Amino acid sequence: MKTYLSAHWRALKTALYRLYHPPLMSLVSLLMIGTTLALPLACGLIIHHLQTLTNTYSPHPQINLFMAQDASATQFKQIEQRLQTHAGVSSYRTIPRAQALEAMKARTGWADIMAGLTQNPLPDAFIISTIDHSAATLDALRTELLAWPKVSTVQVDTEWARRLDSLLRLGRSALGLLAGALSITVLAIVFQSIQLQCMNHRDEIDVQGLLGATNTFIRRPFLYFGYVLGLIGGGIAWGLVSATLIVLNTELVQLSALYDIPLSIPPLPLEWGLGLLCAAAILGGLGAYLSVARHLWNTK
Amino acid sequence: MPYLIPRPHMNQISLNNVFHRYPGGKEVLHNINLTIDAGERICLIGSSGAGKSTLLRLMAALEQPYSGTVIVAGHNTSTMSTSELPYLRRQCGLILDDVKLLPNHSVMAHVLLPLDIAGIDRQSAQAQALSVLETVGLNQYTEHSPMSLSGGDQQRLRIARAIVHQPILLFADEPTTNLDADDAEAIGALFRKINLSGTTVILASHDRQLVTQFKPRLIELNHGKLRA
Repeated sequence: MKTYLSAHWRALKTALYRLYHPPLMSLVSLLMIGTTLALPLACGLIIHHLQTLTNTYSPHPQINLFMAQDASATQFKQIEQRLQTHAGVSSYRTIPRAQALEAMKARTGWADIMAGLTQNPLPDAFIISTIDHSAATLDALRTELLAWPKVSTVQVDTEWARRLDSLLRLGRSALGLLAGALSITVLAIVFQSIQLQCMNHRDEIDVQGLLGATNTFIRRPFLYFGYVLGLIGGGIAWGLVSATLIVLNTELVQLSALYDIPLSIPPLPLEWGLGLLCAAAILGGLGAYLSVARHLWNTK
Repeated sequence: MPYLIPRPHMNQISLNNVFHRYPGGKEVLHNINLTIDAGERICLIGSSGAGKSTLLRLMAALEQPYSGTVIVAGHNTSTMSTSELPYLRRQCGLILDDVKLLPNHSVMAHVLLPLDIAGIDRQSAQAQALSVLETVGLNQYTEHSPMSLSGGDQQRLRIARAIVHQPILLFADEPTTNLDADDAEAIGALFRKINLSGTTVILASHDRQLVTQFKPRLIELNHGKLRA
């Protein structure tokens, strides 16, 4: 076991030595891998963030029901009772006018306006979630609700969210394709890098073969080289995305203040980063394996 | 010395009706029948182009015969799988042009390489490598690059690398070419010493001095045929 581990340790040391000799070649490969991995990672993070925002601000198609200004508390209760027993309603939330006013006052930029009002201009409201989210059902329900007593306005304002959700789904599919294509690019970069390594160490490989080395023995330092290349490349991608987020969030903070929506993208989650490193190392190892296999096949 | 281990006497190499030709080329070896026993010292002689190096390469399992069988240490080199070949190679020591010296490896690294390949632990490997370097007279150059050594010392290093893992067979193609008389004599003495340890030594050489000094069984080739 000790001998086995020692052989792996020597292979790793050889790989690290080759990484710095010559350093420029490895650096170029690392930067290429880093930038290639950073692109789908950044896109993935942005799409994930947009998805979270969409879910927060409009998770499902909802209906906003506003009572008339002169509706009494009893009439408000009656509407609530009808909603409780309605077959098409999955849930609802009441927003009494006083609560809505307080929320409005708490919002940035609205406090001064609200302070100038002599009476509460906001109506009592319900936010209703339906069982069926189809456009036809929502329209039918809207018409039905409008006919109820003291109901002033019914809004089905989900089209923008649905469009955004469709766009995000399209974005996710495109991201999958992009990630696939760029994974192949990473494989190709590692493959080419290891091919150059094989050419630089051709004599060494030949000599090892003549001295009785198995393909596993010959392949080992190159595999470690591929793993290390992938791992550091993944680390560079992580660093690039994190740095980009810092710059991007500086701008987004101002935009968030304008729209009162937390647009700032949170930092890359740790599990994403670790997943990226694992995936990059696996891609590196796979590229190295294919490259050495090709070299050994050609040599044979 | 760790490799001074007597080995049982047996047929180690056997060639039966071996013909060889390179693709598109003329016949290089013609109907070779030959047996070499363990512990023998053999010298393949003959003029340039007689087929000495080709015969040596066939016996070292570096090439396969066009027809006929080559049995090395009980293995038919034509039918053995590629995964078995490395294990046969580990029983051989090669001093051929193909087995180059590596400029970016130290003398010690060269000698450690066959032991690393064989999976010997580093401590034993270093002791074994030092012992062999001492035998060939290179123990003071362990950290030197082989390129800084003289021609004779480079050849000693090739020999050290070829014998450090205690092979049962040692193949050397023209081992004294480009060496001066003193170095050639020292190399000849080294081969004799290795053979005395029990290793079968097979040389291909033009060098009459080496032949006289080494006192081997001579196998003469003439235009690809064995001369009786």
